[in-house]
Amino acid sequence: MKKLIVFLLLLAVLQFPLTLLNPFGPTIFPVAPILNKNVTGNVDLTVEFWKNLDDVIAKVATKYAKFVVLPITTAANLYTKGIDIKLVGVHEWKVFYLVSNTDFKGLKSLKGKTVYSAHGRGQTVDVLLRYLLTKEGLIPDKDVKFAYAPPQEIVALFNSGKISFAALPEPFVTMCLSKGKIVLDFQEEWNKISNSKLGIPIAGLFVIGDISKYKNTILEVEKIFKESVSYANTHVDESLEITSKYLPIPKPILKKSLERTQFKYVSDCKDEVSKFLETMHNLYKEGIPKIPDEGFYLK
Amino acid sequence: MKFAYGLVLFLIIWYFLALVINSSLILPTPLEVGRIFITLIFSKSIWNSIYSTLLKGFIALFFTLLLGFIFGFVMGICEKCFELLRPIFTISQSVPIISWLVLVIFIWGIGITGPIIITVLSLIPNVTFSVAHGVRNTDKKLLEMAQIYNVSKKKIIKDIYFGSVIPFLLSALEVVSGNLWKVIIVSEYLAGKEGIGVQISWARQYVNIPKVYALTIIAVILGISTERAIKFLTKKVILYDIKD
Repeated sequence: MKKLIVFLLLLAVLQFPLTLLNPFGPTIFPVAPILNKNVTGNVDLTVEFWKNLDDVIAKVATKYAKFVVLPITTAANLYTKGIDIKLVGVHEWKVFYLVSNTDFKGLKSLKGKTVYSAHGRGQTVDVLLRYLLTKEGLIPDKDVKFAYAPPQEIVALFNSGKISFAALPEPFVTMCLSKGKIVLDFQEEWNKISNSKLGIPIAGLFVIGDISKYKNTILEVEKIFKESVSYANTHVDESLEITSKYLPIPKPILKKSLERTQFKYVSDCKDEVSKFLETMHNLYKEGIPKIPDEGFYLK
Repeated sequence: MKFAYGLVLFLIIWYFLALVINSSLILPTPLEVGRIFITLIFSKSIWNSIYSTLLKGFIALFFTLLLGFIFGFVMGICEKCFELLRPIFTISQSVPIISWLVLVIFIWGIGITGPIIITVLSLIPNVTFSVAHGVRNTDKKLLEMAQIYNVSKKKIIKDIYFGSVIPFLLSALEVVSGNLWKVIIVSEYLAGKEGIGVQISWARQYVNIPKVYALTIIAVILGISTERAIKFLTKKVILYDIKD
């Protein structure tokens, strides 16, 4: 009887295609196998891209789709503002680096310098870097100045020699490497702080809205998503080909950047994520005003 | 008084829309935004931002008017200069702000200068063309008469040319004042170190949408009060002209 119900539920699931909202960016790579139908399952999963925060907030708030890939910090803020989403698993663990085109001998050498980072105050790298500087006995904003700009602009400034230090996510790091080198791996630093081995929980898969009716669907989508991530990792060139169909980033750069970006699906990562969010909240309240409660985690 | 009725109508429409959309992340209710607005006004950091934006706005306005007046006058008097400079201003008028970005950040870095330069570049064509048209529209008969009666060059420029330019300049000023804060805030958003635009950019990043709307209210207040102040000044100037 139970099997029959499960079967019927699965049938019900099969009736309508499910949408997965995925960021438009390098995170296309881990879902490329789904886009290309290399990986399929018992549900018909279609991928749609979201281009910016407004776009995804509108779609998540109106329950336009059932599944969404989001940065963990953004998702936490959406959740604490009353949006009904739950974390299924994290798949992006490595992406942030500090690049420099001058002599760098540890964080101490940033004294009196300006570090450029993407977007604005409260970004993951911004918070981490400030914390690391404080541990070194430097006062952020006083000993080390911070400036924020769109990442594309930072790359242009860095490559023209106008600035010396940039804390960026991939693939922008790779775009700076003709003129500079990586001097700090933020993931390693985070692992030291948190005693984690995985790196920074950067982005993951979330389910939107009421989940009680969809237990099996969620499991099925998770299975496809997980397979897709590992397929992309084992068939790099093929998935790269598909990714560059959508992304206007030169393929060689994307390929190089993937060496420093880690996609690995981890379903059991509640401890890592909650520790990360707690730390970020304690370091900079405005960036994550409230820590999500148990309801944020599916498992 | 009519303005107040309009405002009430606007608030009612907003409230109704917010109820229909029913998500504070897309459109918060006026009450929510009002609450955040009040707490914002009482925080110290926001006043630094407002001050920074005001400072940039007035500096940009000053240079826009000064340079616009000089270029416009030259273009109005000399036909060759007009033809020569017109493409530059026409292009400058239609370049999207985002396109100046790399250049401006490259030359001046992230700070106060970038947004000012972007704003002046975006607004100056308006003023320049208005002044140029004013000069070219100067009554030819008046000029002929002045030449016949040997009126001094200084007097011709001051009384005849300026007199006919002022109405054009004032209408340009109205257009500019309406766009000034919009351009300043967008350029702060993209290349600023502090100011209302930077605050909006950060609030968006933390998904604090009600705060974005509250900051927008501050921008609207700036816009409306500048426009009113300029209208008031315009009336004064015109009255002064008539008295003369």
